[in-house]
Order: sequence, then C-alpha cells, then structure tokens
Amino acid sequence: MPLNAPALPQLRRRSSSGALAALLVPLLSIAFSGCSDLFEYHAYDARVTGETGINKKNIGLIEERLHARDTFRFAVISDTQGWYDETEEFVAHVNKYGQDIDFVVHAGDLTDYGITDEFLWQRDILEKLDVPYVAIIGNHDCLGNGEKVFQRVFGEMNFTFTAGGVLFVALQTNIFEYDYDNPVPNFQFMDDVLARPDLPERTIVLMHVRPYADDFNDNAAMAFEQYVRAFPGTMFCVNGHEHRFQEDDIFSDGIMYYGQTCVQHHAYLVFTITPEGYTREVRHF
Amino acid sequence: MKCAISDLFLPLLCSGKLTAEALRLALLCAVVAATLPCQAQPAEAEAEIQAAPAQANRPRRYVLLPLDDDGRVVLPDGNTWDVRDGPALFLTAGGEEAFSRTTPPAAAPAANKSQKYVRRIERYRNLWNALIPDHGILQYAGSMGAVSTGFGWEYGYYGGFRHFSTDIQLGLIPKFSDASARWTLTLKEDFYPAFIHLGRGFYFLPVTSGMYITTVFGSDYWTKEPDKYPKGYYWFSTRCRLNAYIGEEITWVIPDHRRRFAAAVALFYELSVNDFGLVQYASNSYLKLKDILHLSVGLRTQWF
Repeated sequence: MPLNAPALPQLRRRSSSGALAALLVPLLSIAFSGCSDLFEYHAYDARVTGETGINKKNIGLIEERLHARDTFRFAVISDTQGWYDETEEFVAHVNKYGQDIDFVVHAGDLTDYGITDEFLWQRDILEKLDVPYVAIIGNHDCLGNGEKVFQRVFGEMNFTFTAGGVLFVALQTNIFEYDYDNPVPNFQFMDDVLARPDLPERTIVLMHVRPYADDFNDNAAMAFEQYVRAFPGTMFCVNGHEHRFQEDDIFSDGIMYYGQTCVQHHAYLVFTITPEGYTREVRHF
Repeated sequence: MKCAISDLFLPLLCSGKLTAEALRLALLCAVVAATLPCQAQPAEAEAEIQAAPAQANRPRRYVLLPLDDDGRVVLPDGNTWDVRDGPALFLTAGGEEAFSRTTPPAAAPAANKSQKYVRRIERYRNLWNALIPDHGILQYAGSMGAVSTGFGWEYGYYGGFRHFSTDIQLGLIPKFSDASARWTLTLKEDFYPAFIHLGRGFYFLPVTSGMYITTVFGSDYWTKEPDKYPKGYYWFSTRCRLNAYIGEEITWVIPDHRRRFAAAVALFYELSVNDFGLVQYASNSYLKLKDILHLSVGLRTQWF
C-alpha cells in the first residue's frame, strides 16, 4: 500500500459505486443463494445443521412397521464414502424397485475423512430413501472428530433394535481409532444386552469391521465370537469395510459373516428373513 | 564559572530526530567533558537556555544537568552518563520530563572498526525491524475458525502497491457437536495481482488470491498417520488442511492527518476451497461448487 507516497500511480478513475457494486453483487448473491453452510468454520467444525438423531427416529419407524410381522426384507449397503453419485443411484434404485424392502442398513464408512460436510451430504442423500435406514459407524467415520458428528447425526455407536421378532445388534468394531479408554468391541455393552429380559428368539449382528480384518482387535476375536454366539439364536453377521462381497464362516462354527461391498460396485445385499430362516441375494443397480 | 563550563550542555531535540548537527554538538560536549575534569557539584536546579535559531519553528533548548560524585551526568530519570559511555543524545518526546537516552553505537575511537560495527548493528536492527508485522486481520469463517485474528507482513511493492502478504492467524472453532471448542492456526500467503485507484484514498482490488494451511489443535487429529495403522492406510493428514481462495478487497488509505491507529483499513471477502473438498468435487457430479466453496469476510488493518 502506498503510504506516505503522494505520487501514486493513478491508473484510471472509476466511480466508487461501480466498484462497490462489483464487490457486493457476488457477495450478496452468494449470501442469499440459500446455502446454509456458506460460511465454514473448519472442515472438522462439527457444526451440524438439519436432521439429527436419525437412527433413533428410524428405529422407531422400523419397529412400528415390523412389530406384527415375522417375514421381512432388508438391504445392506456399506462404504459409500466419497461416492455420492453412486449412493444417489442406490437410493433411486431402492425407491423405484425395492418396494419389497422394509429397511436399509448402512454398514459404515459414510465418510472418507470424517469431516462434518461428508456426514451431512451422505445423510441428505440417504434421507431421500422411502424406507427407514440405520447407520453403523465405520473406521473412516471415526477420523478427526468424526465419531462425535456421527453420534450427533445418527446416534450411538453400539445400539440394538428389534425388527420382526429379530434382535439386531450393531457394534462398533473399529479398533485403530481408539485406545484403551474406549473399549472396542464393547463387551460390557454386549453383556448389558444379554442381561435384558424378554430378548427376541433370533439375532443378527451388524458391524463395520469383521474379526481378523485389519482394523479388528484380533486378540479379542475369539471372545467376540463367544459373545456373538451367546445372543439368542444368532443367525448371521453382516459387515462392510473390505470393499468386496464376502461369505465366510470365519470361526467354522456355523455363524456366517456376510460382507457387503462398497457402493462403487453398484450392488447391494438383500436379506429376506422368514420364520424358517433367511435367504440372501445380491441386487445390482 | 568553572562548573558552568564543566557541566554539559545537552541538546534536547524536540523532534526526536538524530541530526548531524545534534550529533556534532553531542560530540563536542563529550570532548569538553573529557578534557576538563570537573569537580562534582551538588544537584543544581535545571536551567533552560533559549538557543540560537535551530529548526524553523521549534527553538532548540538546552538544559544544565548536575553531576554526581564520580563526575557522571545525572539524568532526570535517575540514570547517569559519562563520556566513557560514548557520545550520547538525550532526546525528549516533546516534554521536558520524558528523557530517554539513545546511545549511538559509534563510541570507539578507532574510526574504521567502529564504522563496520555500526553498519553491522544497523543491519541487525533492520533485520528485526523487518519482522515487525505491519497489519492485523480479523476474519469470520474461512475454514480457519469461526473467528480468527492475526497479523502479517506485506511486501512486493511495485507500481506503488503491495502485491504479496504473509499472514498468521489464530482461530477458534466453537464446540458445536464436539466435546470442546478447538483452536486453529493458519499460515497464509496472499497475492494481489491488480488494484484500481478509485480516488480519495480508496483502492479496489478486483482479484485477491492465495493459499493457506490450517492446523487444528487437539488429540483427535494427526499430521501423519500414527504407527498403529498399516503403512499408507490413510494418505492424508487430518490435522493440516490446504486451502486456496479467490476474493475481492476494498482498501481505504487513511489521510495522514486523520490517522489514529492505522494507516489503512480494508474490507475483503474470500471464497475458499480445501483439499478434501476438491478431491470429492472432482469425482462427484452430486457436489456443486457451492458445496465446496466457502465464504469468509474480514477486516484488514494496516498499522504502518
């Protein structure tokens, strides 16, 4: 800035009002464009706008929808991080062709970096589903302060719900992001669930990282499986994380682990639960 | 009369500027003091003498200062001075009470050596002077805290206008859904390619641009992935974000006679994007520019 410099080069004179307009017009047009997160305080600012507590709200819808039924169908997607277009296509596909689906389970990794905007963008897409959905926390969702945003937008990291007479146990199994102050997997939580009176007769366990995957506490894998088997009538487990379809009886004990691939592969798992058992299928979109 | 001669006549330069004339006078005083060993005199009332015409509108004034038992000049602020301390000027900030001593570093008689020393000290002082920030910033949003404040340095003056600036800003993110509020620190490099003088001291900068790195404090974030991850598991840092921006600015250079705290003030806005936003924008048509572009507004105060 030319201070104390009277001999300033005066390029050309222009009216002040014209320049002010040049300054203010883009500013104001953006400010009034209705973009709520126009001002960002930080990528990890945890400033959540819009819908929160989604799991709790949707669990209410699922339990209400299925409380008198013993046959139902649910879809599983996972690892939608950074693939908004594909996630939108999935939502459109379920809304158009998935009238038989009662609810959707997201098996974790809604985000790549755990930043606040990613949670909100994913939420805004998934909110367009005609059926209720629940989300489980993935390892990427724990990055930075992501788990706090996840808890605000979706809810608890360990939770249960009952649908059509089946207990669903959703567990936080991403060990890397936590130290010993935060037990992963949380055996105390599973103990508390097991101590509940009047548990349903069958159980499905949902998680993001399955035993012996890179982000699982392998030392706890056997104990974890004991808990999984301790739930009443454990049918199978569902996981995400590895970006490929998996069907493994990991512990050779009859408990199947079904891995859902990432949304980029344009395919999702659908489980049909009947009083006799269950069937599974892969649907492409 | 003896004591009148041996007492020092000390120039009081109301302007506070070191003139060659003043320096000569000080050296003369020093020589007088050195060659005429004097007897200590008890404290003597200060006397002011109107000097011969000095500056155009400011008469130079002299004051007699008492000596202590060791023959050292006793300054009003309690300090003492002796010729062995080197030539000295006693400057006032406009009033008789505000004495402060500025010792020009040229003290030693060996002229060549001292000149080198003076230059060296001058360079040393200039170096540190250049590190005095010349402007302050107060900014709202911009992915560097809800509010951030800091200071910086402007440089690259050509065409009579600054073209670069480096800023450091400390910001605060409110708690929101996190467990606590968090601090951020930003290192920012600005580039001002053009300006338009609007008259009456107003300048319009149609394009401002730059990049900045932000870090966020707290145990939730890491610069490099911790050892517990398999090598290369995460390619990015959760602590450091690289941002780029473009914006506009309007600056008012305050006229000399109206300056109180600042030489110029500027209002600006910036549209910024960070590395995460760009990566995701590149691979998703779902994301629009308005999703990854973030607005911030700020005030820049140029102190000098």
